[in-house]
Amino acid sequence: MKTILPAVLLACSVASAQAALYQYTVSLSGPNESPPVVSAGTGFGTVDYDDVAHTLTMAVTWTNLTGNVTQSHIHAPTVNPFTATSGIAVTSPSLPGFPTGNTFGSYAQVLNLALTNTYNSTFFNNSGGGTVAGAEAALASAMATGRAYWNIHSSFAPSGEIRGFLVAVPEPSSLTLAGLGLLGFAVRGWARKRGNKF
Amino acid sequence: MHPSRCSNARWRCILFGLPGALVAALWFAAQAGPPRIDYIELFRTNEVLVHFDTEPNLTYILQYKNSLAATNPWVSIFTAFAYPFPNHFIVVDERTTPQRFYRLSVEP
Repeated sequence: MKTILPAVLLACSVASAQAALYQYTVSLSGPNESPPVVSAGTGFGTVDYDDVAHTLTMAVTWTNLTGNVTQSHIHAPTVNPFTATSGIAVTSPSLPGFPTGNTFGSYAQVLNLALTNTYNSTFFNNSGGGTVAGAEAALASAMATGRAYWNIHSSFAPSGEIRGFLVAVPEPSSLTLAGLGLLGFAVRGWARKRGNKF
Repeated sequence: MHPSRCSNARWRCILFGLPGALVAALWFAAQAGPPRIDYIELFRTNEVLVHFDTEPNLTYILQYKNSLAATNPWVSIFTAFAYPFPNHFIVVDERTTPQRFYRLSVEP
């Protein structure tokens, strides 16, 4: 036990430092557009970026749009966080399989970030330097710094009826591992108090 | 050129500054590029989606005509007004004829 406990603590800290999953939430609305759009439409989604599997797992639901959905994308990078607009990052002409022609719906998809055609060509060349790795890094950076937004375009609003910037959520695995580490220290201290040697 | 050097030789600065400004203007114009329709696709049973990107501080006008005959005028269907940031637009147009031609113009 004396050698196992430090090893477990070290493993926890190492695993925590090498987190592979970055989670984001997104709240979409008309007032979030730039310039703001008068719309009763709303939406909520999640985006999980896995930097080891090189995937983007996306899910969103929306309702009450004024126009029918035409397309949807993730746009990035804006110049400053959580403001203004930018061109399409993924995917052009639209996210694959995104339902259109309705004022409400839901969507779930896993994008492969190791493929060139996942990215809009302008983003790929200008932000990504013309490489898949560069494009993935540029997208990851934009998401992490609040400069990426999910936009749903409609027949009512050609530049987008509802949108929301991706907002990072605390990484559950890191929190869990950190909690386990603290628990380990607590157990060790408690055991020392009782005179047991760990 | 550094401002302090301009104050010492104002006219020379202006003479050298003008070509610099011209080069800068040409460079920015080249960066913006001509207006371009990225993508046109059929949408639902009788509609078309026209995609285009916009550069900051420019107004874009999307137009169509059903025949390229010179007597047939271009008709404006959508104007993307100038904003100080880039954007992407998707305009819906109804298919009322077997063919239709689109063009995108830009105004400063």
